[in-house]
Amino acid sequence: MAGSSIMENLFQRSLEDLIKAMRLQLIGESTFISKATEEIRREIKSTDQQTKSTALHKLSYLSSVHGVDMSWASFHVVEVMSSSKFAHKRIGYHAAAQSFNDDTPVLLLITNQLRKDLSSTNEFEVSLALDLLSRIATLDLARDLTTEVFKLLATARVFVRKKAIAVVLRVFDKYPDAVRVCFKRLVENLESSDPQVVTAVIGVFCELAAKDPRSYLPLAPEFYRILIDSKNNWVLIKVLKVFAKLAPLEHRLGKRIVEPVCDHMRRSGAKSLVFECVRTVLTGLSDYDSAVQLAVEKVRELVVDQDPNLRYLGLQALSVAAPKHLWAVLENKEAVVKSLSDDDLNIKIESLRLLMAMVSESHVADISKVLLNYALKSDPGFCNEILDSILKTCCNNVYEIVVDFDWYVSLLGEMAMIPNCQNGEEIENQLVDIGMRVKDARMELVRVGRDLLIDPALLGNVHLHRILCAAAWVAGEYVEFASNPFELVDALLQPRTSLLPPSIRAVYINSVLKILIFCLDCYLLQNDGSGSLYSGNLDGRQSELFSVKNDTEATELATCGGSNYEQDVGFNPRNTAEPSEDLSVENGIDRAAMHGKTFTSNLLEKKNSMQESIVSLLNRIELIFGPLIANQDVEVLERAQNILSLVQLIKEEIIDNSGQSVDIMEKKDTRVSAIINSMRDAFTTELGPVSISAQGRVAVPDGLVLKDNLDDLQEICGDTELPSSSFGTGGPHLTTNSDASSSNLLNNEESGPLNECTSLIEHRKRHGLYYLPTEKSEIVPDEYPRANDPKSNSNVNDEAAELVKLTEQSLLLKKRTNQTKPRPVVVKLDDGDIAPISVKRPEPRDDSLSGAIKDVLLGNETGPSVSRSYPSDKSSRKQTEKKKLSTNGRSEMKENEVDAEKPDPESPNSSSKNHGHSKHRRHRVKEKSVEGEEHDQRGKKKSGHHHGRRKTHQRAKSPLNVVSQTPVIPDFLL
Amino acid sequence: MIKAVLVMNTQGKPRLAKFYEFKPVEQQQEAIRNVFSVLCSRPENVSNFVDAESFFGPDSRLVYKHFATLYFVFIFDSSENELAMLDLIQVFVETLDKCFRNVCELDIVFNYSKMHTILDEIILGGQVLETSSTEVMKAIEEIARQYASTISACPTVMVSIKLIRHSSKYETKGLKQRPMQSILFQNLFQDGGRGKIISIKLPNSGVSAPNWYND
Repeated sequence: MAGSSIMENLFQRSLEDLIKAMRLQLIGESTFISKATEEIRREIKSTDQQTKSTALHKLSYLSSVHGVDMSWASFHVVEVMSSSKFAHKRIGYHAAAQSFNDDTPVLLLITNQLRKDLSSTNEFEVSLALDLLSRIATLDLARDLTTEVFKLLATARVFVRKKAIAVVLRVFDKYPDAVRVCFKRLVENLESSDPQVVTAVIGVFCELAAKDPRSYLPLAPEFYRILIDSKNNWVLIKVLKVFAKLAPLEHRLGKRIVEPVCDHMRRSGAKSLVFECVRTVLTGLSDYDSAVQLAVEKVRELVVDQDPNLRYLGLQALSVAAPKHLWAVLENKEAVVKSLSDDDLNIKIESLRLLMAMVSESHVADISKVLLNYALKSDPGFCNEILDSILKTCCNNVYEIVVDFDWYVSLLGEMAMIPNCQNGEEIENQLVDIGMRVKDARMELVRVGRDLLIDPALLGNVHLHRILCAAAWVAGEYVEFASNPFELVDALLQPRTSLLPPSIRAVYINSVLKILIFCLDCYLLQNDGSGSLYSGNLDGRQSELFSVKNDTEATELATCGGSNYEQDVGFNPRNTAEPSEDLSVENGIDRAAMHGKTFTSNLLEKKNSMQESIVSLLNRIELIFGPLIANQDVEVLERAQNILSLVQLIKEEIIDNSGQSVDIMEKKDTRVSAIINSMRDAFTTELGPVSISAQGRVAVPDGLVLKDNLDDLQEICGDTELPSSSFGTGGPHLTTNSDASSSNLLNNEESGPLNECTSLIEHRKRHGLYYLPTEKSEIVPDEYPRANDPKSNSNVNDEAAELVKLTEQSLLLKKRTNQTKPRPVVVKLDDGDIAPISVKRPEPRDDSLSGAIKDVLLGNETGPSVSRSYPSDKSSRKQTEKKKLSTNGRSEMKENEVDAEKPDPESPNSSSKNHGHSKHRRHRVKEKSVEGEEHDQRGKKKSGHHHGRRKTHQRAKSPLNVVSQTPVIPDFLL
Repeated sequence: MIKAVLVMNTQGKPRLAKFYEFKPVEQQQEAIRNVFSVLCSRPENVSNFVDAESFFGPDSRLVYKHFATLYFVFIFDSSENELAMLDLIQVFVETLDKCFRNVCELDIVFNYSKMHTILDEIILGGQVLETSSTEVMKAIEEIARQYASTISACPTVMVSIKLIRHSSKYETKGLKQRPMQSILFQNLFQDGGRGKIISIKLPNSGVSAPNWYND
C-alpha cells in the first residue's frame, strides 16, 4: 500500500504539469479536460494525503477556470480540509470556498473542523477558516460558530481581527441573533486605532446600513468622529456612504455633517473621495443649497475632465441631481451636449438621459428634431437608444409635454422611416393610442399611416411590421379622414404584403374591409344625396384643412401639407410626374367639381366614373383575396373569406345595374345599402382607450369562484402579454359619436372617389394590376437616408450649438406660449391610464436582524438596569418590534425624538454615556465568557432559556415599561 | 460589496474567476463569456465602466482595466465607490507585479493558487480588507513560509515554475514592445510567443503613483 502511494505520488501530475500539458495538447481542450478529470477521479480516492490534495488542487483549478463540475468531490474536500499540513489544508479550504453552497450535504461535517481552525494559534489557519466562513456560512454554521468569531473580534492579532470583522457581516445575515453577542464588539472596533481594523469595520457598517439604515442612527456620533478624524480615503468613502443613507432619515444629522463633507470636498485631492462627497451631497443632503452649489462646481470639473471615467461619473452625478436641481444640469448643458458626440457609448447614453431630462413642452419639437438627426448619424445601438428616449419622454404621463400632436404623429412616422429603428412596438402602441385618445390628430395619423403603407420597401423590414400593423389599423379605423381611400386599398393589397406575419396580415384584411364599406357607403350616399350638401361640406372641410396645414408651415412639413392639400383636389403629384394633356384636363374638371361650381353638370359623369372605380376595386379585392382562402393561418383565411362573400354579394347588384338608368339602380341597391348601412354603423362606433383597472369594475357574477391565488397560473402564462386592446374582435369601450363621424363621412366621400377614378384607371392600364406609386411625394424620401453620412457630419458642431441654444430656452421659455393653436383634447381615464407602478419599497428584509440591532443599540440608552436584567432588555426589544408592527410607528418615533431634544440633565453627552455603557457591557460579556469556556453550547441553552423567561416578564412588566423604557434616539447634535 | 473578480485574456480565456456570491459553474462560465463579449467590443481610451445589470442582476456595476493581453474585471454594488474600485484593480496588479517581478500572463496562468492567496488578502467575502500592496506582500510572504515549512519536499515544482518564467522571458526577447493603453500607467507590454505572454511593468510601484483616484 505504502509502495503504491509512493508510486502514485511520483507519477502524479502536479497542477503545473496539468497546465503545461493543456497548453501543449493537440486533442482539443474539452477532450483533454475530460481525460484530466478522469485521472483526477482516480487520484482523489488515494489514501495518500499528498496525492489526494494535489488531485483536489487540479480539480479546483479546472472548476474555477474551465467550469468543470466538482460537486461530486465534496467529501474529499472535507478530508483534505482536515489535514494537519497547512499546504493541504489550504487546498481543501480553497476548494470548499469554491464549490460548497447551502445545499451541500457535507456542510454539517465541517463545523467542528472550522471551530478547531478558528481557535487555532496559527493565524493563517484561522484566516483560512474565516475566509471560508465568509463565503459559505449557513444558518447552522453561523449559529454554531458565533462564539469563535466573537472571540476573534477582540483578538490582538490585527491580521485575524480584520477578517473576523468582515465575517461578521455574513454571520449577521444568516443568523441575526448573533447581533446580541457580537454587535458591541463590532462597535468597539470602530474606535480602534488600527487603520486596517477601522477599514474592515466601516465596510461592514456600510453594508448593514445599506439594507436598513434606520437601525444605525444611534451610531451616528461614532461615524461622525470618523468623518472628522480619519485621514484614510477608503474609510472616508465608506463613512460617506453610511451618511448618505442616514442623513435623509434625520434632519439634524444633515445639518451636522454638511460642513465636514464640504470640507473634504474642498480640500481633498483624491478624486474618488471628492466624487463620493458629491454623491453624498446630491443624494442625502440635497436640501443644503450651499453644499449643492459646491457639489455642482465639482461636477463641472469632472464633466470637462480629460479622463473619460471622470466625465462619465460627472454626468451620472448630474442625473442624480436632475430631479431636484435641474439648474445643475442646465448650467452644464454645453458639456452635456458635447458629450452626445463622445466616443464612449456610456457617456453618450448618460448625456442623452440628461438631455431628455431638460426637455420641456416649449422646445420638445426642436430638440427631438436635432436628436433625430443625431440618430441618423449614429450607430444602430445608439440610434435606438435615442429613439427610445424620445418616445419615452414624449409619452410620459399621457403625452404631457406634447402640444402639437400633428407634429408628434409625423415625428413617429419619421422615426419609423429611420433605417435601424427597432422601436417598432413602442411606435405601434403610441400610434394606436394617439388615435384613440386625440381626435384632432386623426387626420395626420391617417396621412402618416398612408405614407408608411404605400412604400413597398418598408414591408421588407421586419422591425417595421409592428408599425405597419398600426398604420393599417389607423387607416381602416379613421378612413373618413383619408384623402384617397382607393389609394389606401391599393397599398393594403400590394403583393409584398405576403411578407407580413399572419397576425398583421389579418389586420390589413380587416382594414380593407373597413375602407371598402366606407367607399360603398359614400357611393350609395352619393346616389341619393343632394349636390349642394356635398359642395357646402366640402368647402368647409377644405378651409379647415387648409388652416391646419398653415400652422405647420414654418417647419419642413409645410410642403407636405401643401401637397396633401393638393391631393384633395386631384392626384396632382402623380399627374405632374406624368404630364399628359387629357389628364390635366380631367384634373381641371375635377377641380371645378370640387368647388361646386359645375357640380350638377358633372354629376352624372362622376357617378359613372365612381361606379367604375368601385367595380374595379371589388374586382381587385376578389382577385387578391381569392388565393388567401387557402391560407394556412386561420385568422387570415377567415377574414379573407368574409370579405370575399361580401364582395360577391355587392358585385352582383352593382354590375348588373351598370348599364341602366339611375332610377332603377337606386331601387335595386336598397338591399345592398341596407347591408352597407348596418356595417358602416358597426364600424363608426368609436374605439376608446381602456383603463388598466377596467377589469376591476366588472362585478363578479354569482356562482363564479375565483381562485384566490393564481401564482401558479402566472408561471404558466409567464410574460405572454395581452394583445393590444385595439385590434381584433375585443371591443373596448364604445363611445357613440355618430354625429361627428357621419358628418365626416359626408365631408370625405367626395375627395377620394371622385378625383382619382379616371387617373387611377388610366394609370392602371399602363402599369398593370397592382398600382403602386413609383415616385414619391416629398414626404417620403426616395431612399433611406444613409447612416453616418460623411457629408452631414460636418454640421455636427452646428447641431451641437443648436442644441445648446435650445436647452437654454428651457428655463426662459417655459412660460412663452408659442402655440398657434390650443392643445387638442387628450382623452384621459379617471382611474389611471398607466399601470400602477408597483413602488417597491425596500422592505425590511432583515426584520429579525434590524430588530436585534435596534434591541442592542436602543437597549444601551435605556438606563443602567439594562446590563443587569435581561427582562428589561427584552421588553425594549419587544417594544421595538411592536413599533415596527404598529402603523403609527413613525409618529411614536418622532415623539421620542422630541423627548430627546429636551436637555437631559443626566446625560449631557450621549456619546460619552454610550462609551461608559459599552465598557460596562464588555465586562459583563467577559464575565460570561470566563464563566464557561464551552460557551457555544451554553450560549445556545441560555438564549433558549431567556426566551422562556422573557415571555413571563413581558406580561408582567410591559405596561410599566411603556413609559420608562421608551427607546431614546440620542441627540446627534452632541 | 464586491460580487466577483475576473481576470481574462483578450481572447476570452478566463485566467482567474472568483465569485463572492455562490453561482453554479455553468453560470460562472456564462457570466465570464458575457463579460468578455462586452469588453472585447469596447474601443481603447473610453471609460472603464460597463453596464453589468443584465449579467449580474440589479445594482451591479462593473469596472475593468485592460493591461496588454489581460482584462482585470471587478463587479460590485452601490456600496463601493467606482473610482476606488479602479484603484483596487491597480493595487491588485501592483501586488502581482511585486510578487512576480514584472508580472506577465504566464505568471498568472501558472500560479493559480498564489493568485487566489493574493486576492484573498485584499478581499474577504466581498469586503475590501487591505488596500496597501506592501501589507499584502507581507502577508503573502508569511503564508509562503508557512507553506514551505509544512510541505515535505517539492522542489521540482519550484524549479518548473522558474523554468517557465525564464522561458517566457526568452520568448519575449526581440518582440516589439507595445505602448501602454492606460493613461494612468506607462507600462511596457510585451506580446508574443503564443500570443499570450505579456509583461506588466509598473515604473514607480508604491502608493505614490501620480494619478491615483484615491490618493
